[in-house]
Amino acid sequence: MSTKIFRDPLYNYVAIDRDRDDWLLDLIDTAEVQRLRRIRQLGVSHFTYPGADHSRLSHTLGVVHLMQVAWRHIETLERGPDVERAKHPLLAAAVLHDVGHGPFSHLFEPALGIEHEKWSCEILQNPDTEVHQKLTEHDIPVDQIVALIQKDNHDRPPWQKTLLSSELDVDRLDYLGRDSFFTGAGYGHFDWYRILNSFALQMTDDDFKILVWPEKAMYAIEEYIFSRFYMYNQVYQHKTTRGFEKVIHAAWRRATDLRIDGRDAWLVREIAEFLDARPPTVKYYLAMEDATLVYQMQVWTRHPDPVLSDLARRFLFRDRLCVLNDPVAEAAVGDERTRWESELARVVGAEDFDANYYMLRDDLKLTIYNPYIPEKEEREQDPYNAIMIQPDQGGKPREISTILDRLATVTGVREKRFRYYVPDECRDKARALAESRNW
Amino acid sequence: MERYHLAKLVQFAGTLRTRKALQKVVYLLQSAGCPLEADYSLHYFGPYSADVARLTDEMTQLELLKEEPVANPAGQQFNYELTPRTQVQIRSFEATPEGKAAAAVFSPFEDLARELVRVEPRELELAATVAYFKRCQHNWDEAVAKACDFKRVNQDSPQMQRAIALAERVVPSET
Repeated sequence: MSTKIFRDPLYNYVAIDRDRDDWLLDLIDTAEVQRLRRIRQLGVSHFTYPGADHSRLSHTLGVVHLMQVAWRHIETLERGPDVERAKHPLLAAAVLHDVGHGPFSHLFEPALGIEHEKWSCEILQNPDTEVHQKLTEHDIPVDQIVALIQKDNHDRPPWQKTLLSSELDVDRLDYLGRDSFFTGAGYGHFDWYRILNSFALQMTDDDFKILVWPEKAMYAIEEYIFSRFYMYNQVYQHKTTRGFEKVIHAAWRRATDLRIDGRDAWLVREIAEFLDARPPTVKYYLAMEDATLVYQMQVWTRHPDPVLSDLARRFLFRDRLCVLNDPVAEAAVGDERTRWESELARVVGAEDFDANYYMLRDDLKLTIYNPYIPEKEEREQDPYNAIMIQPDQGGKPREISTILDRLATVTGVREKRFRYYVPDECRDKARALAESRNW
Repeated sequence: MERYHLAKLVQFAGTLRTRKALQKVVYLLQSAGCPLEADYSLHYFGPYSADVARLTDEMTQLELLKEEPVANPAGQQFNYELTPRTQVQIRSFEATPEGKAAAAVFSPFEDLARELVRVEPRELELAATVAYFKRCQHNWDEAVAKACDFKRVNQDSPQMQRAIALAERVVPSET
């Protein structure tokens, strides 16, 4: 037996059996998967946490490792051709679930109006990609992998989909641990091995087979939920990181507005080709990587438009905007946000900044990362909104926070909704306005 | 989805019974064209929105909604009413330009909303699931077949027939 070993800081060894799973190595070696080396896992979090330079590829290999661990456990639970046929699509989906990420991972999605999941599926289905060719060569059904990756596609059995994407899945288990390790934030310690070696496959009243966990796994899951809460607050929603994301979006918006006005936005070739293609193609999409966007920012620092060049300079040289917490009264049905924002825009405009690009609102709910907030009504609970524990004494599975009361401190927490970013030059007046509540 | 719109739904109902009903009513209103802008995905119990769930919890924590847990055979359901303070706030808000604009968005769908909040939750679940598959670019026959397969229900059952009729009435035929 020959084994391919990847050294990994989380799991030490990620091992793939060459004799049995050579197809998996072929898939990892494709151009589209290797491109993930050049996409940062955490976008611009390295502006806040200098160590957070890890790539989507390292996360992908981590997800493959955890899927292998979960699969070995499944083989102890169930046997048979149906289960065996699920193995290759699940492992392939683990490799390919993030293959459609654009520059700086999630950061570029709102700017370009793209969803990485959609592009992942396009890449799988496009006959010109190496990924598609390798899947076909090894008789791995592309449509099954697409069904596993697409959020709203329910053609694959629920237990298979939820292994990859649910409230407790191999994707989250890896990225929480990995992002914690590389940021140095240190919150991502939980017993993933127990979580992946203790679940059971159980039929629901509605005849769905789902994953449930025994009580003995409860404390490992509790650690995971706390870890997710801390990472959400300390890393994924960090005000500095989010501020630079807003600066990129503002620069992008400015460049788009210049193009609409018929002016040359000095787009680098890879981005221009993608935007000009009708419809956008996989080939052009894959040509955009982190370095493309960094180079675009470098180019924009020399652009004659003062707004575009200033925003690009702020991004490249880490010149932060000032953050303001949301001052709008919270306990109201209809809020005063419109009036607050128009007054804040006036303050920003008075300092000769165009509020369209320098008064930046961060909607904290519009994020790919979120803490665990379960659905509490049993007749609406499923693995996509609740982690279910099978009580030792029998009966129906219960959502974990109904068993461990202390989880309510992190599962029922009201989230902050908005932050605002303005240039430092406006800071004092903007803060005075916020405190005066005079709008 | 805005707090005001959720508050209005609860106001129409008096007591809005179950989170399930709330989820599916919002989905069906959106399917009818009401721009409530809640993000939905298909769950085991039909279309489900974390946005709607979180907004409901947020308004409950802020005491804009009164939540009452009620035991049912599956465990618990949650019913919602407006607090007296919220009733006052709705009136004040509707007197402002922002409030008038928010009310105008909702007003063409008010009769439908008042009707939906009175439909039985399971029927709403089935109707919303049919509507979901219809909006996924299936024709009506395919949408119904997909929904029945997904929910493992008999298409000829009286409840499913009522749900199909409701979905057909709510979802514009061209979608």
